[in-house]
Amino acid sequence: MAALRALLNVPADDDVAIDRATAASPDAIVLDLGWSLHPSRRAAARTRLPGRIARLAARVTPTYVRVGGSDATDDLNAAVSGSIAGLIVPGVASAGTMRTLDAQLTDIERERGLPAGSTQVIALLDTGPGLWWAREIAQASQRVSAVVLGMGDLAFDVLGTSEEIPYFTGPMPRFGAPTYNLSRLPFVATAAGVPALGLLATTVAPGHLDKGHLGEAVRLAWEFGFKGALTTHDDAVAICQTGFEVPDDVVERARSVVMAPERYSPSGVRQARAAIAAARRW
Amino acid sequence: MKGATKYYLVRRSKLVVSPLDDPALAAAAASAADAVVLDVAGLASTNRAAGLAAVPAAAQMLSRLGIDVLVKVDGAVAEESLEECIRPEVRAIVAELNTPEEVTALDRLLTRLEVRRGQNPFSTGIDLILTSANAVLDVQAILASAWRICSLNIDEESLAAEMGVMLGDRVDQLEFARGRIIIAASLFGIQSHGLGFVKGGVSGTETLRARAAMGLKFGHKGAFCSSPEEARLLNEGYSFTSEEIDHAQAVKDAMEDGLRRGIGAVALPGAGGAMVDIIMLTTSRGVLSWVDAVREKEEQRGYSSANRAGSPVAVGVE
Repeated sequence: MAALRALLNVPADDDVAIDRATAASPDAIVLDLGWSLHPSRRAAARTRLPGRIARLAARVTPTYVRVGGSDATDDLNAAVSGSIAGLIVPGVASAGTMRTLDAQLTDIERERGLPAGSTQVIALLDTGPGLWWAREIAQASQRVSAVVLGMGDLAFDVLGTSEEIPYFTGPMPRFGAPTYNLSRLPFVATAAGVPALGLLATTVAPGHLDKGHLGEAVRLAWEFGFKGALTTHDDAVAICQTGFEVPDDVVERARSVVMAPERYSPSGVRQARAAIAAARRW
Repeated sequence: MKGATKYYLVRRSKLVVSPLDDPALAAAAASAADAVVLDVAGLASTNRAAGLAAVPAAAQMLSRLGIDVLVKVDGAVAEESLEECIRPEVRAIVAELNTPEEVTALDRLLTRLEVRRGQNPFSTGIDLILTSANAVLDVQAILASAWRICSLNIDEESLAAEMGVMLGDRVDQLEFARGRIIIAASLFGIQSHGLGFVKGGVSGTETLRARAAMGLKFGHKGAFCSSPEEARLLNEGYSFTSEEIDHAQAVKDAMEDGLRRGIGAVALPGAGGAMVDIIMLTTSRGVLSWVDAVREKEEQRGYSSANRAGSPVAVGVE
């Protein structure tokens, strides 16, 4: 699977935003049929989706479509084609949901003469149950190619009451990110053999981009084992693409271990070699 | 009310040495290590047979000094070779195993060998090292697969390699794994071993002692090490300070007195009115149980370790 350090989310009906996103050279563009579109605009966006996907395919930009949810049948019907890299599906909260989605996608693929299982799915885990059942969700279907930590909506799910929600907004969430629970996701993803995407310690909410904080958040996410992030900001693309590479100081440290293996444990040398290999792969 | 756990296992420091390295064995014997791991798995394949053959004599020498002897093997060891390791002097086998099936296979093998050698079945423990993300996630099923597992560890660097990260000192990248095995070990009534995380700025010997002390705070009771000096530092780190011991004793005395008077929470004398309750009594009893177990171990080994808060006491083995 190609590197997914920065996936740039744009409203699926905004050609100006799509053109601008393409110019930012993200690892993938996400045409959003969900939260960034007003409900009244979604039907028209679905109708024009195939044309926009074709235009992006001509530019060789991997394209994902973010649907409204695993039960957004109209979105799935509009999006499934041989020209997209996959779907981003929010609200997946159980393995059963993923299996149901898998079956639904197989039916659509069959109708369109596409190979069964060819539509990959990135599961956006943005609820408490989704994070809890992450391992089962990742292993419920061969389509799952990555999992994303949906920090913003997860916070709303966890916080619950309307009085608490305003305290969440901004680049630095004011509720403590429980690192035990959140650092579990890279473990789950590693066990399932898929990358975990996401950021810790910040949301990149529209209008709240803070480059200094984002760079730190990317580094923190990388340290915990996340491999990329979903963002709505063109300016965030380069920061993510750089930040989710293995940092230079880490590569140097790894090289010093590999060059003097007798001083380190076998697993320490393995760790260093894995870091160097990861640096080269991206 | 829950009574204090009596600790039968004191392995604050598990010193790893080659069974073929006589000077290292001699140094281990003279060290303060609570346990010595004869590392057969770390030998080149051409030396494994010689390493296994050296285990009986090394184990006998070390165990006479009150040192717990463990033998580290890997999956490639043949049943007939492992038989030499099954003896009263060898308290446990150290193995990197990541599935319930792997643990069950070793468990059954050990049982066969124990019976063959006339030893009590299940008298040889398993000191288990988890090296994969899947194993950390499946730890409950793994621990349920053999009750001879006496302690649980993670191989931090293997986990980091699998996740594609390198461990640093800015954040605890393995917080999830550490927490998970501590809780799982507690659930199954066994010890978890490992170092805690200390944020940057601590280096050298202080790092190891600080990491051990942090590990103790989280529930770990020991860790692997590779030199007698490291063993000494781990012993210090995994021992409570005199202040912590005094506090635990004060809490225990105050609460037990309160309970005799029918009170469930009391003000701790001389602590500015700080309240203590039954949960803190349980914790304090646990601290004092560990202190007693450590003292017993050190008496058995013929020394007393440095007190972290008081003046250093000479460490040595007679």
